[in-house]
Amino acid sequence: MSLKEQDWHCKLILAYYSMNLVPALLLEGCLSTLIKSALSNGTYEVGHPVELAPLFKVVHTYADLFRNESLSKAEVNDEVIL
Amino acid sequence: MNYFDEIGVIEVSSDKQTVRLAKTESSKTLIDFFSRLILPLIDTYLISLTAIEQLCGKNLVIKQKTLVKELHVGIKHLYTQGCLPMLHSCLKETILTALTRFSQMGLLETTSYLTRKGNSTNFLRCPSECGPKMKELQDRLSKDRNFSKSHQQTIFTEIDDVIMRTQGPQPTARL
Repeated sequence: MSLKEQDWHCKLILAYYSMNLVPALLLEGCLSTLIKSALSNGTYEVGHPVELAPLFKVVHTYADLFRNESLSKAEVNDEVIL
Repeated sequence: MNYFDEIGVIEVSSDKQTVRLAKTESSKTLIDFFSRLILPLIDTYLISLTAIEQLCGKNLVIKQKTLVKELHVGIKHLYTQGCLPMLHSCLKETILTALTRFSQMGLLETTSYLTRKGNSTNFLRCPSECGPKMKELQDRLSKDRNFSKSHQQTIFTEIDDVIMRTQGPQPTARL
């Protein structure tokens, strides 16, 4: 198998296994995306405390959008996020 | 959040009012891992949302199956151009789930017709009233996805092509 094909093969195997994790770790993924974007935009610095309330609002938006991708069909509230 | 607190990625204050990212190398690695885990999902939803935004208020009715197929092709094309990092953003199942969710959220109007064989054919239309809600959602996703200007331009061009392809072959003028 050539190097390119081998790379594609590995990528597809990893994608296949990672997809099974997505529904279970959806909220964690949303929160991480939010943190990573804030860090790259420079709107947040590591170690600085931020208010939880605005964070909850954004995670709610994501949870609502990805509702059909989640394992849990229960309503996502602040308690669930926390 | 409790899970992140337990594994030491974030530190939630005792009064549960504030949170901070832990200053460790492992927290950065874990944040990177989790965000990459759902990256294909965000890409699929963002591109599907941008595509239906193009339909908004234009009185265009598109067959769902055709839109899913063309979005699948479009996303694959964006991957080969290097705009999207993961090929599995193009999965038809995820695109269909995204469109179904948009319908549930009221961003799309779905009309179903039964065929002679008993299958149903769905047609999608995006009412103009959904514009502000859609824009808000798109802004949120774009802000967090943070595409570069050139990639954004390529994505918009590709989505225009997707919409054009869903319309079928254009009639050519006869001389």
